[in-house]
Amino acid sequence: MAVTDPQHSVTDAAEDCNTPPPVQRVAGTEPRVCGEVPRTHKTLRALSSAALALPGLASSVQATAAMERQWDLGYFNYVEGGARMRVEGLKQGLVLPLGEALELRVNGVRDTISGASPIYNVPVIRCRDGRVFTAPVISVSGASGNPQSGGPPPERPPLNTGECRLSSAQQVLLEDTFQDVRTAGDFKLDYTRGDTILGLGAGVSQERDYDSRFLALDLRRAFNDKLTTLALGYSLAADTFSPLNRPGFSGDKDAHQFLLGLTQVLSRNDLLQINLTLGDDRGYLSDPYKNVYLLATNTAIEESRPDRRRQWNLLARYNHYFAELKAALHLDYRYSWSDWGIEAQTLEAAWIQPLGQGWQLVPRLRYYTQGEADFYRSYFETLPSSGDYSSDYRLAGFGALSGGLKLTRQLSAQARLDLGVEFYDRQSDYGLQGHTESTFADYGFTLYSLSLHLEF
Amino acid sequence: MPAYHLAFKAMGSPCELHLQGPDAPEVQRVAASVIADIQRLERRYSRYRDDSLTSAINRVAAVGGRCEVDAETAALLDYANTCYRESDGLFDITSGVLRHAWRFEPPGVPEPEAITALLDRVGWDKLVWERPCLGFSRPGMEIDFGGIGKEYAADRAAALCWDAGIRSGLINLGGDVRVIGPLPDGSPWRIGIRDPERPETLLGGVLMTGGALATSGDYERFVCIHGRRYGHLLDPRTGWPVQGLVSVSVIAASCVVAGSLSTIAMLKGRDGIAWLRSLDVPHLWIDAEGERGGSGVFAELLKAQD
Repeated sequence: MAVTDPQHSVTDAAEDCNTPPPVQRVAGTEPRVCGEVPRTHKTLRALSSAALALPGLASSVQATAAMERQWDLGYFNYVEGGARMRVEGLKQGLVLPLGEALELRVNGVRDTISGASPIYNVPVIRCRDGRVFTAPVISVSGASGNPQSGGPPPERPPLNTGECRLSSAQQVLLEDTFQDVRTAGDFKLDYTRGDTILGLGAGVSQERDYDSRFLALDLRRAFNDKLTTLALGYSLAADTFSPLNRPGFSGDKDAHQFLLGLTQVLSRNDLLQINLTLGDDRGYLSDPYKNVYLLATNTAIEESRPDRRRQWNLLARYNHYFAELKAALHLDYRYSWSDWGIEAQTLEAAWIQPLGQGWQLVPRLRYYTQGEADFYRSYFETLPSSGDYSSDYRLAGFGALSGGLKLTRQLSAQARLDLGVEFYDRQSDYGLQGHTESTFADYGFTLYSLSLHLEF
Repeated sequence: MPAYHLAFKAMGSPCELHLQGPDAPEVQRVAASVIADIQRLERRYSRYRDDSLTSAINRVAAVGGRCEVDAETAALLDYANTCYRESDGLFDITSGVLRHAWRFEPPGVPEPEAITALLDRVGWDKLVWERPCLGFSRPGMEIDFGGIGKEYAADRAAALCWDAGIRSGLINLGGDVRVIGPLPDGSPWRIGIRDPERPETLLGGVLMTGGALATSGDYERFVCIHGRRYGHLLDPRTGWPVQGLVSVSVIAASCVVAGSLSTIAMLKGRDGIAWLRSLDVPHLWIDAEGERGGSGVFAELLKAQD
């Protein structure tokens, strides 16, 4: 399955932070500093980094407080409501410090996707005498399945007499025959020198019908007593789509992404981060498994999207640490705009609460709203002259509420267990921006995850 | 594995060096280089020596002049700047001039006017520190690396040992302890914590395999005047001795950090207790009433006392 919802974030690194191990009988070094949760007091961080600048101290402080090797193993299970998609997967990650300046991270994931997915929407016709029709479909090109809505009637009542009218639409799903396995791996190498970190990463991802390769570079530099961090990044992904329903065809896509980021420690307990990213995708950006329904000819034909998309994203993140509660609040606001006409906003809040005894609870709540793409309609009367048309529910205008709960248990100084559950509810009516109604495409999912984190 | 123990005197304090390494002559050579480095730092930064760098800087300070400093001194000044900023002005390496008012010979409390006059010559913010130039905005100021130098020496000593391949050892400079690494069999060092109220007895021992332990206190240097206790730690903002705590010990990754944290906590007085708790580092505090509390290994130590 090639294209996933931008909302389906299976991992969230936002609180991917070690909780301090329970107090040992033996005092060693201070707990490791973690950038996201100000678990380490800012004063302690400021003094520690200033101490490292003293001549001759860095080598031994780093040597005795050497970064540990880390290994993560995670299982996740994603289920959409209404017997649609299911995804089950295993993830592994390894962090290997190589000497004092280099750190290597290697990740691998393998997941299995199965289930039905929507192909197009047919209009529903209601007449005054109470009859309800779904419009007939003459041929389904591209979709390798049969509409689930039984045999379509060969005729439809005339719509211009006032007797019958189009009232809504309903989704036609690709039958539950779809199954694919995704295997992906990536690595990242970070080189630290003084206040500068240079990162290089690359990865591949393979499915039956979709291959992706990416390369990423980033540069982070701390200024002003490490209170300010500037980040620059670039990544290039080259994807090849060989849809199963079009033998002999393959489409290529290149995605460039540029990032400019600024992180500022505002006070002992406050941190502000601003990230600006520009994405530029070129090539084959359509989804050959998605069709549009044409009322003029009663046919379903493959969708067609523009061959370029530019998208701006702005992320503003504010973290506050409540010292008396030892808890952290993360507030995120994201705004994105693309030249396909989709404007989206996200507001997210997470509360990270250590409960003592090695337990930690993280509730999270997110609201998302997006406007529809310029070339989106739930179905089309006739093909638009621009040549771009799609009925993909992911390009519709809608809103979504999602939330989750993560429970973490530090089992020992070396081992941690995370258990998470997340729900997602997409509703056409939740959308803030003006859009055509797409209630027929509303759905939800739940995501369960379990992961083990080891340091050795 | 041969063990090497040495007791010596430096920086006005009794010091100990415990090292273990595979090769005895090599360990002795490392020990000699460590002692040489500690003596070098004492010569450079002691305010009791007229030929020290600190005294040279203070002669410039006395006339409100400017001077250029070397990289090591610059790094120490940067560190002092961080301490000043993080402690909201409590940890101030210019507060030494206040000693002139608090001689306690004969015992007595100074006139407020005397303190006010001295306060004008106190304040890190009255220095112009633009690396590598240090300028004094008014005459009669002084700087003193007293709160940093000994701890810095302990950390450097540990670094010298580590870089020479020694993985097991401990250095103690007058109660500022830095552990190089655990005993050769991996077991921790046991570091005794003296009971400030009964100096001849130990509160107990903490076990350490790495990191550092530093203690700030004025239980050794205080006078009682009209039933009030005046310690030697002075608040640079008021010019008066701080009240509330008599001893604070902190464990951190480096001795410099442990030392600054314990000193800042002392300077904060009773507010230091909550501040230490928010830092989330193992610590022990004892107040003027003899109440005590702490966290981490120290909490266990206090529990064992009861």
